[in-house]
Amino acid sequence: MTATDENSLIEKLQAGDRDAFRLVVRRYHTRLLFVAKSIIGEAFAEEIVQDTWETALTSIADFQQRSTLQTWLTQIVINKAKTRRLREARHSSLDVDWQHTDDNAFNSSNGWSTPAPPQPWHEDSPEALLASDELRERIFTKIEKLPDNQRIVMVLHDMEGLGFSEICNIIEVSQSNSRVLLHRARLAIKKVIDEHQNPL
Amino acid sequence: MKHMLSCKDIHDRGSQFIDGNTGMLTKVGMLMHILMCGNCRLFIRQLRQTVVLIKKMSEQSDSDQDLDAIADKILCKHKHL
Repeated sequence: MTATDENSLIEKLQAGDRDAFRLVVRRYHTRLLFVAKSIIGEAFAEEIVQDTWETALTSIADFQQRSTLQTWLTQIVINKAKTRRLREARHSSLDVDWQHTDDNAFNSSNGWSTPAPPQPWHEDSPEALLASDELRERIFTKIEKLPDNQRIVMVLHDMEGLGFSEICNIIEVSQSNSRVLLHRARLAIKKVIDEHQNPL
Repeated sequence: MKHMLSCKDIHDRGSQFIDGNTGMLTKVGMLMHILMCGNCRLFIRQLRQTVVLIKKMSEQSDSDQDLDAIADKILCKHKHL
């Protein structure tokens, strides 16, 4: 969407245009839901996003366009989910469920051990990989099962493009720990792809 | 740098490398290792693809019909619109 398109959309929203609101919901609802789920979990996510839309409707008149509409909406959903998370005391330890998935991948010299080295994938582009419904389903399931903090960091960083400083404010861990969590989450998703591409 | 980085180092720092979050010495060390090690080259390539794939997954959306129903439900509470 160009800046002009976005400005026009915001003006329509501020003028109370219902079709403009439907368009914005079409464009961002699923993403916002994903962010909410990553922070607060499935049970409260729908409620948080609905609440976000209501806040957006009542606050759009004051929206100064210092950020994009998407960033503004994402911030609202993050703030609401974070508040709810604190209220629900849904704190997990840094990485409680983490198990090193590649303990056997390296030999005593820290080189790849046989037969553990990475195996080529049959599909060699993300688009081709995502064409498989089965793989997409497996990845979604894995994302849901990731330890809370790994999932939050990965969704906010890799899917929503937030920086580590913003993410650290949400989950209250250091930037260096966030980077570790992100790497672990990515490795977990990569492992799902490995297993799909090279079944035992 | 006291010694060459190992394959495990490349594995453990892969995300830092592809995100550009390593120091210069580490970056050079990793590049040298990756240049010489086919397994690590493949690992880094697959990790990059994984990150792109994760990003693309967020672009998937529900049907317009379902989303319009959600929008209408919210609009019902805001009659002034």
